[in-house]
Amino acid sequence: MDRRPQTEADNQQGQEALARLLQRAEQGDRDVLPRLREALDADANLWRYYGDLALQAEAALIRLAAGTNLLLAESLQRKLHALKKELTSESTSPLERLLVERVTATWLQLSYLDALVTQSTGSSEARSKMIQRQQDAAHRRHLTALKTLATVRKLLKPSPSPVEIASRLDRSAQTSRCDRGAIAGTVPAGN
Amino acid sequence: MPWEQRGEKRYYYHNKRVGSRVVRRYLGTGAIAELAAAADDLRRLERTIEASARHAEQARLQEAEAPLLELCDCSERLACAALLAAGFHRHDRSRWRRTRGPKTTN
Repeated sequence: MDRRPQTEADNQQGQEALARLLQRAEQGDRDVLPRLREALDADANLWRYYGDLALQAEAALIRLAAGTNLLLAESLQRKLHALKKELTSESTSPLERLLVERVTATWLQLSYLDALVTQSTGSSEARSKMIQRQQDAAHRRHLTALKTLATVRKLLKPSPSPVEIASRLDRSAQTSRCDRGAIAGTVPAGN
Repeated sequence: MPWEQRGEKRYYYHNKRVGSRVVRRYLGTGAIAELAAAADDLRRLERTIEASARHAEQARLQEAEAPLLELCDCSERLACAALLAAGFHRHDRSRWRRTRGPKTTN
């Protein structure tokens, strides 16, 4: 049995359902919020689909920038990997990971178009204008991606519970006691 | 048409748009006119080749950015969904704010 079309159809249906929920939430319908939360939390397929999409976007841009140059393609992949590592940590949520992938992909596109603008100094006015337009759009896209990531990081950072704050304080007090003990242990008895 | 036949002879004209009207300029007849016509043909051919190369490059760029556009669209929608689900709202694309709880009447 062919699973793929069914999965794609499922994804399509999931997308449409999410868009409908989102539209109702944007119109101020608070009743849909629990279902929206459920859709975001429970659907593992959703995150897999977006992860694949991010990989596709990255691969298409690397193909465009590197062409047949395999060394450049490998270097770009490593650079993107390093950027992603810099922008994520172990505790990063799936949504943040997706937004980081978007930021790195838009960065790659913008860098490619920057290079193209620099190289197109001797070309015709029409071509220069066309590349300039693409560069402006890529720049706007990159800024939007950064802004969304910053907003999500700022607003969706889970605030620590009182119990967590108390346990952290307790841990730090214990650590400082241990440190003092360790220092005392290293100081010679004669001092 | 740039060539105009009158009797035995052919005369070459150059049509050029100046503002809202087309100005027709006489360039000559005989070998000089043939040369001017060949130069015009060459320029036209260059423009056609350049336009087709530009269109091909644009198509290549658009094809490469299609998945990126979809990713941007979907991730923006997901971020909006997550923010709405976490109790934030925004009015008319302004800043995201925390939604106040429902008003209670005493």
